Amino acid sequence: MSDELDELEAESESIQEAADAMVELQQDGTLEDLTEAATAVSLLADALDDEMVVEVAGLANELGLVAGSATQPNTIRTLATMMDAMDEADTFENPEKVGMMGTVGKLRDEDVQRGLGFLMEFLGALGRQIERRSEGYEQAEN
Amino acid sequence: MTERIVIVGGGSGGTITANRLSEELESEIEAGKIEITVVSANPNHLYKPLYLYIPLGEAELEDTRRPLVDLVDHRVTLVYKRVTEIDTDGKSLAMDDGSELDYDYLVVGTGAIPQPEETPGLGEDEPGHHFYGPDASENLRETLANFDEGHLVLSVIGTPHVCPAAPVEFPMIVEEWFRERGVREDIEITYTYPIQRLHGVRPTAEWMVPRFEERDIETKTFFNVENVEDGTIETLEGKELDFDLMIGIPEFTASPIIEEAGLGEEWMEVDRNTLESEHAEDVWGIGDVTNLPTSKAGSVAHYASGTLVSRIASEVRDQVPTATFHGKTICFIEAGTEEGTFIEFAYDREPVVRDENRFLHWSKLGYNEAYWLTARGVM
Ligand SMILES: Cc1cc2nc3c(=O)[nH]c(=O)nc-3n(C[C@H](O)[C@H](O)[C@H](O)COP(=O)(O)OP(=O)(O)OC[C@H]3O[C@@H](n4cnc5c(N)ncnc54)[C@H](O)[C@@H]3O)c2cc1C
Repeated sequence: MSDELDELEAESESIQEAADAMVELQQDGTLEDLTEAATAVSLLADALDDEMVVEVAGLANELGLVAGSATQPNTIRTLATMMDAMDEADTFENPEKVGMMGTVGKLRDEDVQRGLGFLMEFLGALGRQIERRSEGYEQAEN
Repeated sequence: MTERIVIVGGGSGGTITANRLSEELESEIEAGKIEITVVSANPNHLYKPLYLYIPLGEAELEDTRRPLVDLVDHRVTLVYKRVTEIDTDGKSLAMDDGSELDYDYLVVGTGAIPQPEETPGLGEDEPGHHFYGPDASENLRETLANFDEGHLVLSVIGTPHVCPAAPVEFPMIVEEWFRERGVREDIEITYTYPIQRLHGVRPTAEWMVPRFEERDIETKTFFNVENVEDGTIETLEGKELDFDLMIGIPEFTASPIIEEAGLGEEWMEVDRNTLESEHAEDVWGIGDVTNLPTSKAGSVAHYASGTLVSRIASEVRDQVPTATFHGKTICFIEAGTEEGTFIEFAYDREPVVRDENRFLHWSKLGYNEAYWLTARGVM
């Protein structure tokens, strides 16, 4: 009997708290906003189906996996540097034609040398990553 | 000197831990102080919850797996071998090809292995089916597609079962699936559970009662399956139940290397808050292999990995580890094919099961697609 009374008391306390919260939301106008927003949720519920959910979540998954790698601090710096360089080079409208001899000449330029140094490092890393992946894919297929 | 962290197992626990550790210890790895290695017997990472959908034709095997190399941070070394022995005194692992690998810190995440063979009559080419493996779930698809009348029995055989939700979801989903196919009237469904209520987690059991009644799913409790013969299940209590299609939730065990290494008798014994081995130095456990007093679920491995990573990072940096795990567990429960709910609990917090709705069903479907982000350590 006293258990039931305790339960009843706890329940009426919860009801009072819920009502107080409701009144507060009503008075400050939040309830009206929420009611309006709820119709959008209702539209979403009527419009959505399992296939749409699966498609969107699948897309988010693939984008997320790419973003997971693209947001490593070093990758961000490298990408930002490359983009700055693209902006600075800005010669795609009429780039200078460079032949064999011209290339040899350009190689004397210290900036070009630094750029090449980066490309060589990058190529080494690319080779290692290709190796790591191809071993992983070969193993996974067997 | 480079210190080596070795993670055994490329499942949910091992993969998330490897990714988060390599992020956390980025500067130590770059400086050559730390090296992280994952040793996995399976070169694919599996998302096992999809096994539930294969029998219903709603997922394919290829949806359940991705090459580990696509999910593990590029700074982590991957070794595709099976560990056959853990020597915690010599801090070394023996592999199936005879090679050895030394470690300074060891994380064991070898999962729970289904043992259908432990129940006579359950398994491949046996009268009793299950869906806890690729072949088993494909076999069941074939059988279910041709099943349009008779008695289907789903029996939970052992506890703890991996994933608290799967045995609850399957009868509810299959019941609606039969209705959609227009054969429900000719099929009787029975659900059995070994203890005196419908589920080990009490609020889940209470949630199930009216729902199973509403759906005309018969239930039998205190029903401990001893063996499955053609058309009849016999129990330890001496009961018999006839069936036309029997699906069992098998027993699970830890890999035998755990007991052989002295890391635990049944499951790997770890401190429930620090995840440190009770029996060896510099060894931690993650996921289903452990004896943590909560469900064996992917979410547990996910949340525990945060604590693990923080504690190992502190050890590596000679700081005092302070992070602790309190048993956070979340599981979706599909209540048929159109609505779902979830349970959330912790060591000191009883679960509450909310009423099911469409949004929670879509959340589960969405998560099934986006799970790979969890493995990658993004979400
Ligand atoms: C049908 C089904 C449905 C499920 N549904 C849900 C759900 O809805 N929600 C939920 O949260 N959880 C669910 N789960 C549970 C979830 O899949 C597991 O809790 C999770 O996978 C545990 O992760 P883990 O890393 O501990 O083990 P696992 O993911 O099993 O990984 C273990 C890894 O260890 C490797 N390994 C084992 N032994 C060795 C060895 N000796 N040497 C090297 N490598 C080894 C294995 O190859 C594997 O890569 C479900 C499970 C199943 C089977």
